[in-house]
Amino acid sequence: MKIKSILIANRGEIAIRIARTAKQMGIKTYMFLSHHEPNALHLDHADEVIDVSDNTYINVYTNIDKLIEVALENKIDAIHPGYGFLSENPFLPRECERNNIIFIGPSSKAINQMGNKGMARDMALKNDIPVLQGSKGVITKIEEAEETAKIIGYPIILKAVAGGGGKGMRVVRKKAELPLMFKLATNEAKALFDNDSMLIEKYVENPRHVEFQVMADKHGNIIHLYERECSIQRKHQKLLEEAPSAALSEELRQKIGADAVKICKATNYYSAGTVEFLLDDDLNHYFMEMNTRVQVEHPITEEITGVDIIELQIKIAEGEKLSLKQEDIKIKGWAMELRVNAEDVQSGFAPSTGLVEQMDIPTRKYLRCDSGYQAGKVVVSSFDSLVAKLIITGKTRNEAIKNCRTVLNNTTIKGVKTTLPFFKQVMQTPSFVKGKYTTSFIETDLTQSFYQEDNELVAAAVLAMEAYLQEQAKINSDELDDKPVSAWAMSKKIKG
Amino acid sequence: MKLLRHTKNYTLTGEKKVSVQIRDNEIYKINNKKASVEVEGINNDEVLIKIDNQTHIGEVVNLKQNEVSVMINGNTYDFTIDTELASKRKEKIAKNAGVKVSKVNAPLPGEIVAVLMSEGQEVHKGEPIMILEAMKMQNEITSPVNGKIKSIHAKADDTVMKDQVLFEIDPDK
Repeated sequence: MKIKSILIANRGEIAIRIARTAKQMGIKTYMFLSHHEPNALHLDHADEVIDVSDNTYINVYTNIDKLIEVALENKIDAIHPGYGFLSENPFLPRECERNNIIFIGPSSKAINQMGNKGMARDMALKNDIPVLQGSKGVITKIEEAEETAKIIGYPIILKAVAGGGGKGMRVVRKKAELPLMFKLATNEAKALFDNDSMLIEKYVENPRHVEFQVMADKHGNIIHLYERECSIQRKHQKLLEEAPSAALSEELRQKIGADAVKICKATNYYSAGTVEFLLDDDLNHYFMEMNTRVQVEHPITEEITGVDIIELQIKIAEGEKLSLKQEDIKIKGWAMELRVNAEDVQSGFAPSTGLVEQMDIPTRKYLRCDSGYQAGKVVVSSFDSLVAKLIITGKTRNEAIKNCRTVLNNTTIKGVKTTLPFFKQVMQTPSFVKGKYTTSFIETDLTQSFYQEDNELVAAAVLAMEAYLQEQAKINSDELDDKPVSAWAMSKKIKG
Repeated sequence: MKLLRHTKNYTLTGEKKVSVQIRDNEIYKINNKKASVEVEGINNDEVLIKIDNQTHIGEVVNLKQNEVSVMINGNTYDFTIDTELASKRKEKIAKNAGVKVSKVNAPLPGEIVAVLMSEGQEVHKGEPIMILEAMKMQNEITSPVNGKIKSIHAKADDTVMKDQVLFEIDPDK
C-alpha cells in the first residue's frame, strides 16, 4: 500500500529530516505542537500541526494511546517514530498493526528479540557470529556472578539485561571489586528498569565501536550500507562518527558486513537497522547489539553511499522490494558527523539550556547541517541536548578533517554553550588525525576537552578587566555631570 | 574625582587567578610581567584583544558589578574582579570559615530516576548517591566528600529545580 500521510512521532532535527524525504515523495506530514516547545522549528516543516499543548501532563512522544488516537482521528496512513522515545518499543508496532496503521520500522517481534541483550546474544551465538565470552542466561545473585567471573577472567562488564545507552553498566577489574560493583549495578538496574537481571561479559579494554547499517525488505532481501566508526564517545554517548572506519581493511569490512546481514536474516528482520560490533586490538570483531531504528548518525552513511535511508524505510514499510543489490552499494569519499550538543565542555559536558541567541552555520558544498534549531529558538531541558549535526564530507579522510576545521572556524552559536570547542580540540589531536583511536579517546588522548588558544585565559582576563575599567570610568564621569545620580547608580558606586 | 594617577593591583578570580596591574587607567602588568595591551571593537559585540604580539577575538557576555563573563573561541570565562587586597582578605575568610555540612544541589532541572543510598550511610568522595535525568542524559549526583549522609531531600520520580538541595553530607573530620 502506498503511504499518503505520515504522523511523525518525534521532534527537532529528525522530525525535519523525515519530513524532507516525505515531501519529496509527495507524502503529507503531521507533527505535534507540545507545551514544552511552543516555538519549535520542526513545526515550520509540517504540513499539518496537531496541537497537544493543552495536555501538559503527558509527553506525547512516549504515549502510544495518544499516537494511535491521533492517527485514527486524522486518518493518517503511517507512523514514523524517528529515534529515541518509542522507536524501539515493541508495543507501538503491535498497536499500529491492530489499528491498521503502517509502522515505519521493524516488526514488534524483531524489536522484542533484538532489544533484549540476552536474546540478541543467543541469536548471534546460534548463527556463528562471534560474541564476547559471557554468562549463559541472566544472573541475579552475587554467587552466580562470582562463578561466571572466575570462568571468564577479569576484567568483566556487568550489564543490565534491560539497559541500553550505557545505563546500568559497570566494569569490574578485579575480584575484590565485584561485590560492591554488583550491588551498585543491580540497585541501579532495579531503580531504572525495574529489572535487576544482569549479563556478564568479558570486558575489552580500549575497543573500537564499529556499526553496520542494514536495510532489509519484507521479502527477505537484505543489504548493508557499510560501517560507521563511533568510537568517540563520552559515557557511551556518541559525539562524533565517521564513515567508513579507518580501522577496517576491505576484507574485514566484507566479513563483518556479512555477519550483520546474517543476524538480520536469522530474525526475519525488515526496515533499517544497525548492528553494533566491538573491535579489539587484534581487530577481532564481536557482536554487541542491534539497534532497531534509524540512528542519529545515519546521514554519514547516506553521504558516502548516496542512499536515502528514510526513503528506503518508507518504501519497505509500503511493502516494496529493495531495488538495490549489495553490489550496487559503493563507498564514495569520507563523511564525519559532529554532534553539536548544548553542553558545557568546560565543566564536564553539563547540559546547557536556554535561548539560542545566534546560530551562524556556513554554507559549503561539503557541509550538510541537520538541525532543529535556529536563532530565537529555545533549548529546553525536557528533550535531548542535540542542537545541530554538522555532516561534513571530503574525497579522503584528510580532506574531510580539513573541511571540518573550516566549518568549525566559521560556525558561531551563542546563548547556549555547545560542544564546538570540543570538536576544535579533536580535530587537532594526533591520534584522531591519524585515525588511530579507541573508545577511550576522550580519557586518554585528549589533553583537555576543549580547544584553547595559547594564553587564551590571560586574553579573557584582559578583556574582562577592560570592560570593568570602562564601566568604572563611566560611573566616575557620571558623577562629574550635573545631572542627578540615580539611587541605582549610587548604590553601584558605593559597592564598586 | 580625579583620574587614577597611581598604580592599582587587581586580582581576577576565575578558573585560575590572574593578577593585573593598572597604571594611569591602563593595563601595565599581567601576572607581574609588563605587557603591551590593545583592545578595540571590531563589529557587533566582538573585540580584538592584542597582548604583546598575539591577537584574540572575544566578547563580553555579561557584566554585573565586579562579575564579568567573556567568551573567546566559544569558551566562557567568568571572573570576579577585586583589588588585590580585597581578594586576599576574601581568601583568608573563606579558609577560616571551613565547611561543616556539605550540601549538594541539583546542577540542572530534571527528574530523579533513582536514589541509590539512604540516610545515615557512609559514603566516599565520588560515590553516586542519586541519578538525575535531564536532557535524556543520566547524571550521577555524587558525594563531594568522604562522610556520612545527613539527609536526603528527593526521592525517585521527583521533579527537581536547578539548585534545589538534593542531599547533605556530614564530612569526615
